[in-house]
Amino acid sequence: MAVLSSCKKDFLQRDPSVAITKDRVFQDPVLASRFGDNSYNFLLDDYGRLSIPQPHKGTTGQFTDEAVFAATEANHGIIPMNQGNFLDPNATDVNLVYSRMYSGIRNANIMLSKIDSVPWTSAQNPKLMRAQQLFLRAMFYFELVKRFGGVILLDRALEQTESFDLPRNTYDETVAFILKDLQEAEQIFSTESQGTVYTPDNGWDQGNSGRPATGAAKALRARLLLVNASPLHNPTNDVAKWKRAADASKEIIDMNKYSLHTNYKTLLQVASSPEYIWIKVRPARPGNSASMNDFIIPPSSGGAQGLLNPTQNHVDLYEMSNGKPITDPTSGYDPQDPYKNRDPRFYANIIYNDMTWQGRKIQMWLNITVNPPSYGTDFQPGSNSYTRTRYYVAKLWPEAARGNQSAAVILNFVFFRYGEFLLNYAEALNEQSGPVGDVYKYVNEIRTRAGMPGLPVGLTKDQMRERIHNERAVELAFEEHRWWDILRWKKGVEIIPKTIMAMDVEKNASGFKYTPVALASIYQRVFQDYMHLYPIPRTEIYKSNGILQQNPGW
Amino acid sequence: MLAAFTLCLCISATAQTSRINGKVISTENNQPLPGVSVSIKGTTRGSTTNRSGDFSVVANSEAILVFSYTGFETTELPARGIIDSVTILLSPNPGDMNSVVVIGYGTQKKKEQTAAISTINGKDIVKSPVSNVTNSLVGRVPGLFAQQKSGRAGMSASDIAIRGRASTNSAALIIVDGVERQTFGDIDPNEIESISVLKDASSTALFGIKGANGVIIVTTKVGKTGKPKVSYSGNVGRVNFTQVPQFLSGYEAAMLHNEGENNLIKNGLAPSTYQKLFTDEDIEIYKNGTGDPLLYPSVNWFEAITKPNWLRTQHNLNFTGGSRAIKYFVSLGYLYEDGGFKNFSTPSGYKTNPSYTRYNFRSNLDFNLTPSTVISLRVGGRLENRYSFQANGGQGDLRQRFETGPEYLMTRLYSIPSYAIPFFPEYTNPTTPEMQELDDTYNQIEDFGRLGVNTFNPYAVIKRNGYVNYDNNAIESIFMLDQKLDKLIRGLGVKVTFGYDAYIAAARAQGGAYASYNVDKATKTLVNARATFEDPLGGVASQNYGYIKTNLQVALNYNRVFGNHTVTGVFVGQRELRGADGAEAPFANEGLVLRLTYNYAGKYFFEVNGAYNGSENYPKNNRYGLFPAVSAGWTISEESFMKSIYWLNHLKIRGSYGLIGYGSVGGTRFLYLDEYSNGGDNPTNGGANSIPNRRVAFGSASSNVLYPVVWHSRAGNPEVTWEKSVKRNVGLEAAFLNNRLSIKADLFDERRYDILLARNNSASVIYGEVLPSSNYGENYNSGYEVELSFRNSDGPFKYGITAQYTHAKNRVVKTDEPINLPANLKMTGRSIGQFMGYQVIGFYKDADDIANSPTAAVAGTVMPGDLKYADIAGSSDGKPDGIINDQDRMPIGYSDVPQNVFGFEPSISYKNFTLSALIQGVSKVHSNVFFSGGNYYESMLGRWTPETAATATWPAMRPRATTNPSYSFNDFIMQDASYVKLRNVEFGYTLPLPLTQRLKMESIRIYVNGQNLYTWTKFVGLDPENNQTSAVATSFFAGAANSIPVSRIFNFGINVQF
Repeated sequence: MAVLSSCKKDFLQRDPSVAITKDRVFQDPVLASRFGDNSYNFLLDDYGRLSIPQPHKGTTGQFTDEAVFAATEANHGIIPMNQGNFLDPNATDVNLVYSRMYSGIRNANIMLSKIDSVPWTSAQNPKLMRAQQLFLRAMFYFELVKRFGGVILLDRALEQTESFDLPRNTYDETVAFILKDLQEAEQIFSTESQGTVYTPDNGWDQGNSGRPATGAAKALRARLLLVNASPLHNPTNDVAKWKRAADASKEIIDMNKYSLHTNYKTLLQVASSPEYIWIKVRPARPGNSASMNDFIIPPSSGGAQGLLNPTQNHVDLYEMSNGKPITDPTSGYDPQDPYKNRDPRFYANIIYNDMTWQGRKIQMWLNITVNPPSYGTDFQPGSNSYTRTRYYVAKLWPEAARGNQSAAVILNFVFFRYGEFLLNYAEALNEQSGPVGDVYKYVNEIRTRAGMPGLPVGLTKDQMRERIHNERAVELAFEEHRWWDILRWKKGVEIIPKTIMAMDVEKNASGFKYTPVALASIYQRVFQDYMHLYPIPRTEIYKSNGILQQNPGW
Repeated sequence: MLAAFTLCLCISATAQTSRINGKVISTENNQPLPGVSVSIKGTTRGSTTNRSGDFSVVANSEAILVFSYTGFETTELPARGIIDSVTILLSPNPGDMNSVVVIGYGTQKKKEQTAAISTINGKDIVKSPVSNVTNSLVGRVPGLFAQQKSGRAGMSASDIAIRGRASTNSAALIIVDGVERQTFGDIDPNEIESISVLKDASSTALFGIKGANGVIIVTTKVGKTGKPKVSYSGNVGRVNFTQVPQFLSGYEAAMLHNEGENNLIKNGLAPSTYQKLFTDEDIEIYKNGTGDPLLYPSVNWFEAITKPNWLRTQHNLNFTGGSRAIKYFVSLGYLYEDGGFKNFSTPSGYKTNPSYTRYNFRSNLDFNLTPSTVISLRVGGRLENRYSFQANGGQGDLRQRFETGPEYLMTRLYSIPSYAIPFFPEYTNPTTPEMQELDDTYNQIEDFGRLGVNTFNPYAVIKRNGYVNYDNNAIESIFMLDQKLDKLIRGLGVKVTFGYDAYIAAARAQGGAYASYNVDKATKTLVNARATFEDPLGGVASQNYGYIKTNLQVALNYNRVFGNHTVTGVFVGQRELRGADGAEAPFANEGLVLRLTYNYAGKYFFEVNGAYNGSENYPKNNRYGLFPAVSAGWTISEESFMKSIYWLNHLKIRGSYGLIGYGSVGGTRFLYLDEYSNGGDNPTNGGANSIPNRRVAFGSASSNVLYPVVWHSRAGNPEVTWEKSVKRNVGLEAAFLNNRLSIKADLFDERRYDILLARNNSASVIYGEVLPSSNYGENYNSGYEVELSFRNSDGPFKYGITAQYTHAKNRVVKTDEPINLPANLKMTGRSIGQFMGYQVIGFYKDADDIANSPTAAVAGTVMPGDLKYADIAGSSDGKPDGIINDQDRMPIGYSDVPQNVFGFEPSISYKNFTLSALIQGVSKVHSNVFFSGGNYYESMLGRWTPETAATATWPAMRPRATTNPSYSFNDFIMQDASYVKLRNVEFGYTLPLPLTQRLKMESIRIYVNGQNLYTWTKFVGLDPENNQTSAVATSFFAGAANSIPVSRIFNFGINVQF
């Protein structure tokens, strides 16, 4: 017995040693800055990101008239949103984003609280670390406020032992919180340096390119203020709000740092561009990578599933190359030759029947003159692995990307590009002052780059608004803008439930017969006014003792 | 001890008249019984049998001889009829109050027990011709919930829970010969003397931090003093599956598929341009049976690759005996169980049929070094070979590949409709190159355009995919020194036990790839579908596993009688170190154990049991816990005022109360450690959102720099501790009518608290990180068990019956769920594992019915003939909201563990014939095994159509593998897994002694027996014991683990003793 008790402590001591303790992390400048870098991993930073089983599938454009998601399983995160069931556990843009953002906020908060106690060396500038964390926290809160309105604001990491059942802050408090973070971040970015790694003028060096700097801080503020001025959060149409938004975008123009990328077609597909304000840097994607093979490229091109299918509704938004909408009888639009003489951005964004792609003609036709009916290689009637609308997205499918082949292509997720802010400025300025010269100037700058004629002179404010809205739908197509634009414009009820159309292509002796047709009911949408704000995830409400309040209508 | 003392006195008193000689033989094994007390009724005179069972006694002709022996029925015989010599047969009586039961760290007489303990005898265990001993406990022990979940050879162990479950992990602690072991199922049943099941606080508190789920103590046989005996037992049996899915023929399946597709089109769920799988002409060809089997196959794949029945055989040879100095029991066992799959000849030469072969060895030796010193050695070993074809080749751990292989194949097989893949049995086992060519093409058609992704040709898999061989070697040894220290202090002894176990396992596998083919319908030729051709098997992959376990116990025993006062004490210091596979830290525990018992005059019993022990799994200052229990008993029938009640032989009440721990919860160890990690995996280049804790890329897409990250990789809880259980037990024992009728009843409950849960479902996600596990869950489990037994052993016609019934129901008191979760979704207050799903209120009659019913927002779009679910909740006030979605799920049925189990064991014997049976059943249990989405089964023929709407027994058809709203888990699709089984029957005949002796043998017994012979159940598809947990609720076949049906065995055997 004496033997037993004498060495008890040692006998039960069997645990493996711990790699790093919390204390050590923040006593080592290298480890501490690495902890901070992990905050970047919580961003929403790719187009396809909604599906639960295959997280590279599904983009918010598929909530809108921009595109449909061919597969119909609810757990891909699209169907519940289409059907207005934002409370569904599969509504990932509600549930997963809510928790992911708070995880990012926690990481940033811990880093912010520790920055001052880390024994930094002269190789680091803790202020730049602070600016990045503040900026990222602002990004996380922006993702929340644009979905939910006011949310619970945390400027420090919660302790395990305290209650997490906290009330929501108001929308205005949330906006103010973000603006405050951005202001401090911008102030640091515009004044602090760190050797050759960062200077206010040149930003980050080559190896750190992809970290945000002054431009990104200004861009996030401009986007936030545009949301803030838009009808959803500006029911009284307070012009001062529009002015703030316009001024914020103008600041970016006035930096004289950015310019439009010359070739719209390669906008997302180059390593760097003067148009990029902030992009997600990631390694090039092989053609057989999950996002290409399993979301963008259909089996007919060697991929597995072509699930991102633009709608006829979206295609109809592209003007003719003469600058007239196809609804204009003088536009020259031929419904039986619908893809002729369209806005060049149509050809950059959309893959359509009979176009040449990767060295061959795309065949999306069905031939019912023979029995059994035959169909082209790029379409199969019964298979959801192929397009449901007879369109695919060229913008997110670099032509060099071959399904099932490892050759890699660049496809950047662009957080902010200069072009957006020209449109943001034009939109806000039009609301503030009507279609003044600057409005025309910057919209036309976008159109000129695309190869389109300028907008007709003499538009009214309302007409200009319509043209800008349309311009955004076309210019920013598939870049994660359409859904958020519709929500902030409060135009969900008008746009979302519209019948989603596809193009039926019949092959016959003389060529093709084009007939727009409604898609099956599973691809049609429901939207009601209260859906302009997402509901707080239902489980969060269930976890609260009545303190956390749900958005109205839900 | 008292009895022996009395006998000594008796011998000295002698008398007159005639001398009667005789021999006492046990009916258990036809062996002579030494030491039987032979007394003359009403006197103090008598004798005892010698080592050969012979006795000699002097009695007058009026005397009645009484033969009594511990553990056997007392038998009386009038002297009058005895001419000269006589042979007396004594039958064992397990209910005998003097029999000794193995308990934790010692033994105890039944009559002294104050705890809830049940025992099963070795001879009952061998009645079940099963390859895993766990399966022979089913239905034989009150309070024991055992469920055989698979019929796979060598993988068929039962899940055992004692008195139901009080926590998610309900695995009992297993002790073999005093030392903890991971399993006892692989021990040769012929080696087992008894199995004790310890159920209440009093009996399990000694095991402290490990005891809360109950303890199973297996004791192996030891030698008995007497001449060497050799016994052989051998049996051979035929095995088959109890219940298999009823697949539909090619025609029926195609017809239903076609009907399903028509339903989709008719109801607007598929476009008019939808390409159907079969034309009407195809269906007609199927119906007429005139189709080319290549294009119109009709294959029952289950029958194609499994055997209708297969072989199992078991042999055991053991030697036992002993002298004053040494006692020995040496046993050799062999078991072979065939695997139930057909053995096809494979081009690579491996065997396709799985098998299980086991060699058991045991040598139990006891050396009486001095009258007060015994050294014992218990060495048990086994070599197990498990073999299987390989189906789940993706598993890196070969053991895992082995353990999930055939199950994986079966889950896929269950979803292949008969029309999907052709099969030509005539090409199998080819003898010529031409036939080989046919076999390798026409029997390797995989993509017939009728199946979809992730399916395969089952025959091609077992023929071409390779094999896995898994050997397991175990040596389990125990060395004991038992030293009496009476010279120091009378009644004191010390016992040192050292256990040393070594386990070595090795897995070996070879994988193969094979060509698969498509059929070109027009030309009926085969098109290569995959780029691989007939590859030979790949290289041999092998992995070794193993660990060593040591266990040391030093025990002081004290046992002394002071007049009416009997005092015993056991004080043990115990320490164990069990290695773990690979780099994982070993498991360690140590502690002190104390038992004190006191009884007064055999009437009043008091006991204190306790352990102070600890485990490596907890933080330094929190590793040890104290687990005490108290119990008491009152044998009322020993009171003088009760003695006059002649029909009451025994009446006792007892009770216990105590605290026990359970520390081996969950897979993650060292939950107190808090850790940060540095580095991180590279980001994916495949897109999707960035993944936390991976390196971050900066630079540019063409030239990026990956920045390592540091993250909180382990959220530790420095307060983490073990689960605790407060158990109460009240028991009543009674025996009537000369001990023929006995009853034993126990009422129990258990409060399990400090259950480890992370607050991830109950705490808001705004915290931003996974929360560490903390001890806050609580469950309550309560119930009762009753055992009734009646036996009549007088005369040549003996009969008996034992009936037992156990009820245990648990309820979740506190668990990790949101505070304001609607009542219908809450688990709190319900049973652990309660099934949750939709309540079905009928079929949708037509489109109007759908339009006028609450909006169905379950997976898939509803159509007429789909199941209509009740809209019970969803709005913020908990009322129906007009939408049927996940908020309308509610508790349906029971859980996957039955609330009631019962066993009924009649037995009769007449002279040399014995017949016994075991009928066992469970009730209040459900299962989520349902046969729906992937295939067409018999039950679907009753599907809803507009014409049969009134009588339909299945929802309207949809083509297989399409999302079906009717298959969202609901109370229509859920199955009642209650059953009654004819679990075991044995008919035996012992050859007459003269014949046996002429053959120069001591006894010969032949028997036929069977296991799982017949099942009464409403369950369809598989055996009701193949049921599933509630974890997965919506897939076609939830989980792979239990996919091989339970097996039935018909067996013939012989026992011979030399």
